[in-house]
Amino acid sequence: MNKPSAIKTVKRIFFGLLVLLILFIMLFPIVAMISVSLKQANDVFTVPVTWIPKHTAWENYPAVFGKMKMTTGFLNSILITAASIGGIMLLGIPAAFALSKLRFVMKKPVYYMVLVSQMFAPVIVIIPLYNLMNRMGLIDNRLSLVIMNITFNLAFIVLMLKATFDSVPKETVEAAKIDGCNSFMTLVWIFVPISRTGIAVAVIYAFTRSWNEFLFAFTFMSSTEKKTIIVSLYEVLKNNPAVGIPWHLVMAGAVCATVPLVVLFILIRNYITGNATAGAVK
Amino acid sequence: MKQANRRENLLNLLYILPMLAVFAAFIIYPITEVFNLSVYDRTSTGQYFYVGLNNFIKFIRHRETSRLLLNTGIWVFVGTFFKLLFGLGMALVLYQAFPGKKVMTGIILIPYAMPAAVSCMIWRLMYNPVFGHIGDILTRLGLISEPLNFLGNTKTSLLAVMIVNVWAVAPFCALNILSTLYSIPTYIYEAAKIDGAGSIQSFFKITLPLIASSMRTLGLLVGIWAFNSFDVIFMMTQGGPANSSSILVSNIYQNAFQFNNRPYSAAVSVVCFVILSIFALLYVRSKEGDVSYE
Repeated sequence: MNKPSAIKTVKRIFFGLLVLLILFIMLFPIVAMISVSLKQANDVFTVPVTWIPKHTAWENYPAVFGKMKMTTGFLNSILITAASIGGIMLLGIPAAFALSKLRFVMKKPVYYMVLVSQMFAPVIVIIPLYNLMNRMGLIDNRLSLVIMNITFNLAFIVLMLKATFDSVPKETVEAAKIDGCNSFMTLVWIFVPISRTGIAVAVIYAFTRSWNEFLFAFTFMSSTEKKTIIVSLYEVLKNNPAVGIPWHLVMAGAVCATVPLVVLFILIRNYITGNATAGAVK
Repeated sequence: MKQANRRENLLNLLYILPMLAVFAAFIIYPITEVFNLSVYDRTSTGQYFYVGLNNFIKFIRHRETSRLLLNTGIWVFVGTFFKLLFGLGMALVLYQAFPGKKVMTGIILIPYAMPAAVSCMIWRLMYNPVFGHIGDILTRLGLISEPLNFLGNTKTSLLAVMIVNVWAVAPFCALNILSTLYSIPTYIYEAAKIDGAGSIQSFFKITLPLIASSMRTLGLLVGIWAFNSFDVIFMMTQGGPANSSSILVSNIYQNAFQFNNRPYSAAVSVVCFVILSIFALLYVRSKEGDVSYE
């Protein structure tokens, strides 16, 4: 073996090890989650830790919905997320269209307001929002979470959709106008169908962010049967000391709450860094 | 014609009016309310009275304030540095062609796609001093002899929570930097290679200067997110033990809902608002200055 190819081999091995290291760091918490979710109750606390469960306890997964009573949590999350996505798209698509293709008074200030508004954390205004919801009689009402999800995801989604609409040539609007379309018809009949991929990606982002929302779901909801899955799982941790937590069931529930998101994200992986998010995150 | 134009300008406003209404009711109005509340105090009977800047003076004099500011600074700057560093590392790896690249992109997406609450649960289990996985790995490697309580120790709690946050956000940075790397035309590298530049040289002389401006924008965004990330800290440690992992935003929440000290909490919110405004301004300016290479 001559010298340059030896260096090449060493480089290749080094690169392979680097890839493995990254995969290990990214994956081992996920492996731990799945491993614990398949353990029997007493197997969780054994020392040293057993990485591969002695007995594979598939029964933990039905137990999440049976013994743990997480079904209502899932239903609440699905309901709130669906309503939030609907609201975000209903308000977001027209706004993004106007910002991208139409002229209106105060356009620039509005654009900067959208850009800047996503930087202020909801926790800063949590007290007035709590009081406001209280006055509207929406505390412990799922509608309050829908309103909050719409409010705090709208800016992000509008910027994403604006980037999608930006990629449609301006001449489309003018051509549609000549054919007798007003701007609203242009939006509904031309822009929405053309941009359906971009809209689908935006829907998935809205789904993820609404599904994961914790602050308001934790603060505004008091009755157990109205809590989202995320909060229901967290409360199991909060209300027990570390050794009293049924970790195997919590982890099985956590896997159930994560799988839909991971599947959706892998579906849109090609768009995460593409045009769709360019306007929103870069 | 001019009048028709003006009419159109006003009509088009209808498209954004619903969005503006939501912003006005649930973002702008609450912000004004926070400013208003911050200059009041409350008696034990629930009566509000005007105190001027008293809450802010209390904040400056509070013995926990310096710790909160220091923690926030570490959390934001150190955290962002490592998110960008690991993000850049992963992006450079993913930029190469190798078998299994697509699978790896999918895998590094998982921590990013995961609900923050779920990753906090896993890490809380893994950090457990008795039956946690991290203690187990470190013991097996012979790095520690007795179990360490990462989250329950005032010296390590902030670091432990920061590791979780870096783990969750670094993949996002990686994908973002990767797309910037792809936007650099390959002929630049080919030209450099012909001129005799090695791979290390072309990284420092070409890649880094070209991605610097979008890295700065990304860094600002990730930093702002970190400044705002209340949920990770709250779910992992509730800011404890003894406030050792508390940052400004988690302090707002605790004062509002646990210590029932709302006017003081509003004052801390105002402080955060001012700091965020500065960052937001920098972000907008940095975004405008972003260069593209196409």
